[in-house]
Amino acid sequence: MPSEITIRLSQTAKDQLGWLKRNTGLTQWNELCRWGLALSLHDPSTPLVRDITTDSNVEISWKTFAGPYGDVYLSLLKQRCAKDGEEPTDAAVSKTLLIHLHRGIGYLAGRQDLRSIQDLIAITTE
Amino acid sequence: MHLHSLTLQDFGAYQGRQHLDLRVKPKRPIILIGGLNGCGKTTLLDAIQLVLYGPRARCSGRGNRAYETYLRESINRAADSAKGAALQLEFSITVEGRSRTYEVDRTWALIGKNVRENLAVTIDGRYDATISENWAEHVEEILPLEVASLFFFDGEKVEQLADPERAAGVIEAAVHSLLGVRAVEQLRTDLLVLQRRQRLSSEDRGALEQLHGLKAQKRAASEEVSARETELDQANKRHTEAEAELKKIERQFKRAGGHLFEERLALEAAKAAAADRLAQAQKSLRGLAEGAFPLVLLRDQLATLMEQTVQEQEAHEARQVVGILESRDAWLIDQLPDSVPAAARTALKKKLTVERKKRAAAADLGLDLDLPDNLIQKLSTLDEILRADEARAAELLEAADKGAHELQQAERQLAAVPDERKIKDLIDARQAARDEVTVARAAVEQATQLFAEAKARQARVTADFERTREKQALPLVREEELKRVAAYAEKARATLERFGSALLRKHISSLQVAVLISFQTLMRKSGLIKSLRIDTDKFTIALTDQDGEPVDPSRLSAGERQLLAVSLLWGLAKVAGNRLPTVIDTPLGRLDSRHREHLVDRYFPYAGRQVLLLSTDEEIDENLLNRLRPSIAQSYVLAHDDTTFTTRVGKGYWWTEGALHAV
Repeated sequence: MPSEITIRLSQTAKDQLGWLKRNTGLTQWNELCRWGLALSLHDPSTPLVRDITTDSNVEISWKTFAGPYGDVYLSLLKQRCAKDGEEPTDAAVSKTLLIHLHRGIGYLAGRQDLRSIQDLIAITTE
Repeated sequence: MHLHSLTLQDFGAYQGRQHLDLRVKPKRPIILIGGLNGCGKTTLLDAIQLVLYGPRARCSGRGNRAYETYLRESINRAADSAKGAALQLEFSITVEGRSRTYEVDRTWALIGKNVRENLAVTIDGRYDATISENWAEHVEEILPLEVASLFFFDGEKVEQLADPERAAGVIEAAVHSLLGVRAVEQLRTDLLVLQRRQRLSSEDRGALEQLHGLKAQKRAASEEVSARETELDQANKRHTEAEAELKKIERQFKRAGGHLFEERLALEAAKAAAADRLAQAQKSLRGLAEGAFPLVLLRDQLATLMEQTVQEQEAHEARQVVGILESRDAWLIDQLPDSVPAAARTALKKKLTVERKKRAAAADLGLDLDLPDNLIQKLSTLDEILRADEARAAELLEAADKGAHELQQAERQLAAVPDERKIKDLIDARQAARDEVTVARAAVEQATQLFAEAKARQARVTADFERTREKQALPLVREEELKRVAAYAEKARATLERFGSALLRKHISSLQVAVLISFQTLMRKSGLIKSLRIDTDKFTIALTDQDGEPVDPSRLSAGERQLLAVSLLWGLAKVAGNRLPTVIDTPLGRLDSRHREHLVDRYFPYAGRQVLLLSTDEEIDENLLNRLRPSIAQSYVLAHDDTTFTTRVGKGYWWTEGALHAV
């Protein structure tokens, strides 16, 4: 069940999120993680990385991560699983979440000109 | 002065009316009047003086008696005192080149116990009331009493004149009054009086004082104007300098970025406001970013999800309907009446089955994500939220952009603001320069006002002055005139003083010569006195003998002293121009025969133009009469009646044809 999912981040992602926190002024991991997921789902290509080493001490519960839009995020993940050719099983959904989340965080961190909250918001209009 | 006649009416010893014709001819200047002692010779001399001078006359018979008593007692004893006595003197003088004849009548009578005196003066036969009333003053102009006493003298007393002290008094009086020195003195005094009288009327003086006051005011006003003008110029100069200095400092201040320094607070405020706006926008943006906003990136995916959800919904519904429709279709066919042919029944069955299959096909999904039933609703709500968030985000981005831009701008400007320490000295200097300009401007304003006031005052005072001067032109002219009069009077007085002293010296020296010549002429011992000097200050006579030794007059004999006195009088008469009659009473009293002859031969015929000799038969005896005869114009003899104690005047002299008259 999705409510039992606990999100763990890699140390790299943690470091990247720390950098993003400083630049955007956002304070919560979950807020930035939602941006990372959305950015990755936005990219129609299938992520190349299949395994993520979750070696950091950051743990986020699904409820904390998804907030009031848990159903929407879950539905979108299922939809992405199907699109990427996988049965939207709990495991598949969980894995898809982890992969896309880390890819999205990587995208965000890759934007070296992302220096403010404006820059973050502006991503939506690209 | 020429005595014409003397008339006596019951005066003293003379009873009735006695008349003496006193006129003389050229070369015959002598009127000889003979009389024994006590006959009234001296009374004649008194009569002449009394008629002329009244109470002031120095009559020999008066002594210390009061004038009124003297008058009363001089009425002839035999006469009626109520009718009184009278004296009349007729004489002529030359006034302004014209001979005028005066007739002076002095009469007096006893009214009760009082004496009433009356004086009448007739000039050229016409009674003159004014002169009659003011005779005492008038006679002083004709013949001053002081002078008269020198010419009407008693030979017995004349000797006293030889005394240096007395002589000095006589000489001084004579020089001053007879020789015109007094006239010069008088003239000087008159000039001084004139000078002092040269005063403006108090009105004119007031006007002139006002004018002088205004003139002083005018001068003061004009001095003030030029002083104020100088002050104004200086103030203007200081102001210009201060402004130039301020401009210079302002330029330096601007070069040093001083204006930015002054705007620093505003810039900082702008920066703070921009930063605040930016922060606000960012906070709002963060609010958005924390919410649903990331889902904006997945609009397409959400739309697909929506479709999927709808399809799953429809399939689910279709699956439920198909089961129900199968039993319902069977029930419907069963309900068909038996009259319906089987073919039709079969056809309907087929149709219904096809329709059911079609439905079943719709329920058959390619993909089933097992999405929740309420997702449609959630998605549509989300769609609206995202739409609103997008609009809001656009606004906020714009605001943040603007804020960031403004912040950058303000920061750039602030970067150009100079350091306060660097600018402080300039600020202080500029403030000082501004203060200086303000002070200088105030000074200029004040100086301008003062200058204008002084100008106005000057104009006013000048106008006042001009107006007053026009009005007071007359007093001004008069003042000028008075000044001139005073100056000339002063000059004339100085001249007169010099003239007076010169005149005095001249007279004194003339007198010295005349007296010495007279004395030497009369003296028997002609060599006794070599020279004679008169002191110009003290008028004393100093005699010197042949050896140059001074001779004390008291060492001279009585006769010699008498001769010296006569010489003095003669000298005076000569220097005075022999204008006055000489009356000599008892001329030869103390003299010896030689001196008598000298007087008769050398003095009497030359003593003056008119000489009245009052003599006894002892003085002018037969011998002397013969020697004198060629010079005699008239001779009278006074006959005294011892029984009636009266005297009458007869013609002739003893030893003449009229000698019979003599007693």
